[in-house]
Amino acid sequence: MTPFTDWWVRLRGALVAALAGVLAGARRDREHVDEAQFHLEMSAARFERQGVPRDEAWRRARLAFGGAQQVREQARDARGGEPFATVARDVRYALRQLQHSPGFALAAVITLALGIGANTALFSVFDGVLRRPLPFPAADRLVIVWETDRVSGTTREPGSWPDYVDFAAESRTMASMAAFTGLESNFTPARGEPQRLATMAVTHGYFALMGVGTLHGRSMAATDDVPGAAPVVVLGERFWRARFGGNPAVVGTTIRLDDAPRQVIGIVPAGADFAVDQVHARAAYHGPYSGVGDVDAWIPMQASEASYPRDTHPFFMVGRLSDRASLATASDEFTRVAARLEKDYRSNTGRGVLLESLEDVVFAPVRPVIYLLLAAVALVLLVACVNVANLLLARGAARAREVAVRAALGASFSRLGQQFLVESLLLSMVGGTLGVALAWAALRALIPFLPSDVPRVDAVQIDAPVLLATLATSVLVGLAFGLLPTWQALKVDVNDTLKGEGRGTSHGVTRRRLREGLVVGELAMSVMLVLCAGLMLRSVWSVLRVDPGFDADGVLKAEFTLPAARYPQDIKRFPDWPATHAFTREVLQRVRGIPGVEAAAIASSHPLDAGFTNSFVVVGREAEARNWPEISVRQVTPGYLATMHGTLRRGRSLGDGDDARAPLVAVINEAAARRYFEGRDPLGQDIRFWGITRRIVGVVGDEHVRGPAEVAPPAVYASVAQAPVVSGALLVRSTRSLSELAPQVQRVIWAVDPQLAIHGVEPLRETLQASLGSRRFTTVVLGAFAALTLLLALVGIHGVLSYSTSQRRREIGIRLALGATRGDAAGLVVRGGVWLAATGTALGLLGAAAASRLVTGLLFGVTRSDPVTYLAVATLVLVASVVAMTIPALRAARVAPTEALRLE
Amino acid sequence: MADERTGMLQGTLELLVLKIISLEPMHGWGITQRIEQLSEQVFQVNQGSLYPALERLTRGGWIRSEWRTTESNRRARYYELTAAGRRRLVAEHGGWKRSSAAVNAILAWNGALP
Repeated sequence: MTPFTDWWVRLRGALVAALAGVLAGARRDREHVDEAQFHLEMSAARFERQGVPRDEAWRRARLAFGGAQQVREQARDARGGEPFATVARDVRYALRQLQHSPGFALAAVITLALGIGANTALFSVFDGVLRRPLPFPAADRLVIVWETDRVSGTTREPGSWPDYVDFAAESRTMASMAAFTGLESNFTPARGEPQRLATMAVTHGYFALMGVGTLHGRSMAATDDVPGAAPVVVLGERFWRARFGGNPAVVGTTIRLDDAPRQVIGIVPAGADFAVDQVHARAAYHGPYSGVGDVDAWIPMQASEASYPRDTHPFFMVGRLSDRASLATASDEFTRVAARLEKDYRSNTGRGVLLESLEDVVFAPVRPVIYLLLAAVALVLLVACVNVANLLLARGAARAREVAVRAALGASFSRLGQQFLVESLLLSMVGGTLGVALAWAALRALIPFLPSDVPRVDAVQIDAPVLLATLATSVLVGLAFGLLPTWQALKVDVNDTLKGEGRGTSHGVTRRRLREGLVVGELAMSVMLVLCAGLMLRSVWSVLRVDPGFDADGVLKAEFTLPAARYPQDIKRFPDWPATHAFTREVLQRVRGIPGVEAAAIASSHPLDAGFTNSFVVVGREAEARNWPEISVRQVTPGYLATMHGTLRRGRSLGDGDDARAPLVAVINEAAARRYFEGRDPLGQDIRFWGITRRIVGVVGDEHVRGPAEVAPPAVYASVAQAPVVSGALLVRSTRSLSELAPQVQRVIWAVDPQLAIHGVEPLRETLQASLGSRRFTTVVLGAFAALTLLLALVGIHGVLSYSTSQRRREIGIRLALGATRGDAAGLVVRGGVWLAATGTALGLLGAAAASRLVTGLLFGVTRSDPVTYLAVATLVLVASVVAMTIPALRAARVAPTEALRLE
Repeated sequence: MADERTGMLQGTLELLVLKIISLEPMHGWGITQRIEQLSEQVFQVNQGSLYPALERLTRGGWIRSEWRTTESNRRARYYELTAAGRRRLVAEHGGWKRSSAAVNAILAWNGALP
């Protein structure tokens, strides 16, 4: 039993008890009103028999009755004494009113529950993700220092080790700096399956800079962070709890990471890894770290210029501003330092810096989406309110008599107002309570759709602040409704109503106008949402329709990292790494033996992983190459093209013959051919990176490795046999169900290496959909909101037309008697409805023209003024509206001509 | 508490109600009409007094009420005496006779000692 359900059960119990107590008196109250009504009628009838005109008779009857209601209520208040008494009585009265119209009560409560529930769900997302401050002390002083590259146009790159050292040494605006980078490592437990760990290599000052303490043991010391120091590891709280049951005795023991022993020196709390994921996600590229949220292990970086020269950029830099500095002054200072580095070192040609507050790095991508959806959900609530207001107005007609009687009995309008207020608050409270339950269910459905780079998804929950906000919303909504019937009551003509002549009079028309206005407004708001959702839907569709250059359907992906201890990676002997080659060969051979497998390949990066880029030269054009952006380097086995259904444009693809003994070759993609070989033939040209020269033998189609919505970067493909892969992905194409295939593929890999950790085992189609990130999330949520409001608006239209049809039965009867056809009768209703729908749609489209500005940033392949979407939405809404009109129209058509004779 | 317009004491109104419905069950409106008629318009019962009185009597268990249909086919609440109400009517009636006789005796006093 979760705390929530427990709470709900308790609340429900309390509610039931309260209702039971309240209901007891409700009946008695009702009888009092009926009794008074009877008395008044008899009294008025007597005056009439004496020859007093009707109006005057009623007036005298009321005078004679003389405020019995107030007297009784005063008597009661004197008796009751406790302040709760009048409220309890009003609640009883309200409940009785609702008992009399269960249909109305149900419709109102459900509508409100949907509106309030949607708001609660979204507010809890906002509250969990955005509203709370970062979990670090003085987090607003934390700054991410990116390197920029004018040549490739990238603005968010990690930096090099020597650059970091220079920045840290020269900066006066930073109180301290640290560097970190994500990597993957194999954890080999004493028992059980090997596990891939998300690991962070950090400079020893990282935790102190972020303001993170340890739960147990110690943090890293400077002595841990020098090359060759004893290998230590700090564990993340979640991993420690999951793997070691939260046992503090783990500190001091040794665990095996990447086949090497490391001593556990401390445990850091779960929040220590906050923002690490987002920094990696915002970067133009990063190493093999899949960014799956929690960091399991932290190891000291132990970097030096020898192992990480100035031309490799693997490290993210973070700094804490000193008290006197601001982001602007720090930016100026770092720009000056970067300019000097550019002058002094050739490797820094075109390199600058970009300083961004950590808060912006984390929240900038999600802020607009969440604000957009908050705006949308407010609209949903508004539509829900309008709908309930409409229901109330419809009831107003029915309740006019009751209001009149009570007014006649001397109930003051403020008294009536209080009563209505209690009634609507009761509705909105019940709706709100139900809404919380709905929100709870909605969140469980919604969270899987949240983009992976949204921070703190686990903090999204329905807690005290969220419940408070819901309560406030419910009260506000309830107050808004309570005023509507009161205002109506003020307009009720007591005499007319009591004589049963409250229909067809002038204020009946006013009420109809008001209700029609509300429906039009409701529809207009709904159209705005539907249009934005439509634009989003078309964007997602466009993204999915982009030919990504590979076929993700029917391909299973499994990722791995080969630990250096068992797979020696001797740079001097590269590419002669026998263990690595043997692994590749064995795995592919066995996988291809699985029944139903059509093709399989191993690649350094799967097709939706941007991988890494490298600087390179084309032999003979070295001078030119200095201003070239880096190229994406991808190592693949010869079956890759066949597995991914890629296309060969020119020359040949990599083959089995391109092994370690054959001449070194490479294949480039069309983007590279366009970028570097404009007007030349790339085939036969020599390209050099990593200090190795390869001959270009073919050109293949572009793969959208940054996701379908992004342009494909220039890329070069080398054969794994000539450029072994230490971390990468196995890609398997099969006609069989991939969920069946997955465990078999895992078993095959473990048959080759039982200690290897495998992760990211999923159909590539899922990887592709997840890459749609916030676009997909926004579409799903906005779509749900739009559908909801449209449904409410249609219910509104149906309600208004049904009511006006029932009001016009006599008129329709007369028309039929005078020779109108049944079609004419139905047309009468539909004409009125179409007019409403058309007005609402037109207004909505106008509003959408402005509101669509909010989704512009998320659109792809469609402009926000896309006429097709506008037309489609207008058609959809109008057709749906006409469908909503059918029932009242049919009812009008079935009116009997004898209705004309019906007495009012 | 006295009724301002008639000067009727509250207890008196309750006694009259008990008396009137002791003969046949009656609704509130009927009770007011009957009181006016029998008192030859001397007593004009204000509903603000009648219904609270009916409620007090109901709570005291002296009368009970039920909804019935009138001759003109309208639903109205009819009040009738309970057994306790009958006993109370007898007691109150006796009390009224004693006290009204006493009041009358005093008012008829001509100064001579009995």
